[in-house]
Amino acid sequence: MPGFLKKATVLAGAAIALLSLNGCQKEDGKIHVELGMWPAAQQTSDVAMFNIWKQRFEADHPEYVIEPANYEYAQDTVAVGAMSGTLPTVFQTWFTEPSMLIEQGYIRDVTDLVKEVGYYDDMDSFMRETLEDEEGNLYGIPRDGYGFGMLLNLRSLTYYGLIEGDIDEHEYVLYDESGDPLYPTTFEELAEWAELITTNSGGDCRGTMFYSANRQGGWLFSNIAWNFGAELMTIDTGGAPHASLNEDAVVDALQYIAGLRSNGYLVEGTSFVYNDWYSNINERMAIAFCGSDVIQNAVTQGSMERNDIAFVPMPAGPGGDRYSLYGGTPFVFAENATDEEVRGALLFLEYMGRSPVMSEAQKTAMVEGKQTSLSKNEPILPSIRPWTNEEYNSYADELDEQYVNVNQEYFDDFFDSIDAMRKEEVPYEAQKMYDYLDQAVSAVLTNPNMGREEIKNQLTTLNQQFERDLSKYA
Amino acid sequence: MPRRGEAFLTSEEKRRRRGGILRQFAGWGVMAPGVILFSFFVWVPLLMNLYLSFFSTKGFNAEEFVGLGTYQELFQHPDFLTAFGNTFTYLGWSLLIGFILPIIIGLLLSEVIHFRALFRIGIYLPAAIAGLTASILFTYLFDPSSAGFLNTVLEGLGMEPILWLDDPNLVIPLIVVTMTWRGAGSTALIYLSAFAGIDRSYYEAAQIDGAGVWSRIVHITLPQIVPSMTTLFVLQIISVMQVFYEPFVMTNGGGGDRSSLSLLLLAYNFGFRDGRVDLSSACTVVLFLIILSLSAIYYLAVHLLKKRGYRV
Repeated sequence: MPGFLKKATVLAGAAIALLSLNGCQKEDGKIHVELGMWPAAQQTSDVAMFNIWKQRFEADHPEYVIEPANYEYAQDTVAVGAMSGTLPTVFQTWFTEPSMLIEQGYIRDVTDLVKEVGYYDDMDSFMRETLEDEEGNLYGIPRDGYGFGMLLNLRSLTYYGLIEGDIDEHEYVLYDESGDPLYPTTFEELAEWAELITTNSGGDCRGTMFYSANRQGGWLFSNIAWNFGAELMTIDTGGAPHASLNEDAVVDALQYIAGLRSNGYLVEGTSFVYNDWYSNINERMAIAFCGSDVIQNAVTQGSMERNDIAFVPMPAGPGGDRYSLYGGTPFVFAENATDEEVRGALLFLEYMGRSPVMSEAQKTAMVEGKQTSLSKNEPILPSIRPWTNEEYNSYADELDEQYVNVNQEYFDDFFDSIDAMRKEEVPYEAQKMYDYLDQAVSAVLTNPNMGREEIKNQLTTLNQQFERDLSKYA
Repeated sequence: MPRRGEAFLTSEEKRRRRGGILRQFAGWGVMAPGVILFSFFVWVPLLMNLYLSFFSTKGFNAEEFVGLGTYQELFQHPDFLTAFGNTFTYLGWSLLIGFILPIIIGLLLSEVIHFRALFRIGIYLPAAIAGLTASILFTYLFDPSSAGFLNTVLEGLGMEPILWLDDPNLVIPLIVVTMTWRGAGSTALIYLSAFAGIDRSYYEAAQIDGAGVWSRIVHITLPQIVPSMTTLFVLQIISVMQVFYEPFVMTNGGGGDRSSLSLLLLAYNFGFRDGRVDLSSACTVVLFLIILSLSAIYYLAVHLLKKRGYRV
């Protein structure tokens, strides 16, 4: 870098760093930990809860000071934050981000520290792998897990005659007398339901929607393609990855989507992103594909009644394949955070009820988290847990029994089957693959009359591009 | 003429010169903060951007010199040609819709006699709305579902709903309509002031000769505002080539099918979504060169026309 540019950059960095230190006294000899997941000021009950956790932590660990940072992760600010050294010590990011953050050096390796505080071995191995680089270094802690499934609007499904139930009492029949599910368990059944919903509602409500932008279309579609029998990526005997986006199974899956679209069984529009599911689930569609970690958005964002929701496993494809894309929403650590700061942040997770260490502080925080949600009238749902140790899970089970305020029966199938169905995203260049699959899904949504050959040709072009991206791993 | 030495200056001239130097210092002093800030926020990023485009990067740090390697990767990237084509499509539609409309609005406003101020305020009002707000507003208008505003109107008229922004053939013109809705009023006011500067005697003479409204517009008004038109023309090209937030907001980042992806949006995606600052820098350098070339062509054309005696 030329001298003058370097000087200018250093000056800019210094200015930003000075601004960021405003009001921050560090001459007290204590280790300051900036907490990016600190709630926003208007979330008063959450702030009060975090303040209690902070007091407890600082009383037990007087060498630390917890500094609220309330950092809302955004793709266009993280780079600037990393460059100027102003990212909080620990912050929450999206499930799609760790690989980019690791590659660009915005977050740091915490393997040794996570082992030191005793979290490493208790971490769900699937989730851990999504937070590791190719050398197996760990860059984050899972907050919770997610698996793809189908969210059912039971009120709409009952109203349009797909299931039996009492809308006023929020009681619905999801299983027959022998306990077999009455909801769609295959993509074929899903298509039949989508048709019935559309027909019975006179087009006011549609079956579902498929996303096709911001890589979220490809993200969902990869799960659908797996269930149709596709692999999407193969690894040769030498360990090199190869693209296989133009498999027949991928064409089948795209033709399935095209069929639903051309028949008008999908919500009108061709350019949906993931967040669109919760603004449409209340009235405009009856079934949404989403992750288990955002089910509550149907209530908090989509105005649904919490007892009208069911979350069921992904449908099986024509060959019986049935997977659920599985991952974790992580806490990550700024690249410039010191070992002491990271250690403090990791220890604080215990006081938030987010660690596997079942101390009194952890248990109390787990209860307080549920109570705060209850006080806000939020739905308390079962979840995929990031820790595998028995003590943690039995206590979490106890709390679920006590606090879950939805009909557990409507969620049981998903949570009972997720261990058997779960499948990680492809190990190389997953985001690029989602980008290519976005284009494929978008093409059939825009032009649902595309023939099989035309779809195959487009996939072949995308496959060549993806293969070129993967060639660096050969 | 050789400059006169200090020894030959009269005392009055020496005083004036010292005063001049002092005034210069004062002038530079006033300008200094602006110049420093301008250099820091414009020239440094610009040069930094150029510099980074020749290196592989990690975050915003240059790692290894790769020469034109990043440019080669950019030109081979499947989205580049799409974004390149789309950007010129934006330009075409913008010149068709966004360039002509303000002239027409300006002409109409100049003919208005009653409530002139009211119309001026009314036409300028959209410019007071934040660009993002306008984009979100039009996204609701162009909702492709049957519950969308415009589709409800169409349904009321017994017509089939339209996909609007989801239709790859409509998306760019509709985004240009949004941009024009917000920007046309302020441009029209510039034209209005240009019309006001035209010597009234031309119109009076034309009227005496029996010229109608159309003849007066074609033979007097338009030729008289050519300098304003050419300036606004090149400003519009520069502005539209940098279209970014409208497709970003209205089509979820350019749409899955890339139908509204512009070069600047592509650069944003490279830099912030993919963490590829090198590709992003190369993309903006290419955009800069395109705009520079178009501006150069414009100035060359103006120069040639002036040499031939045209009033531009």
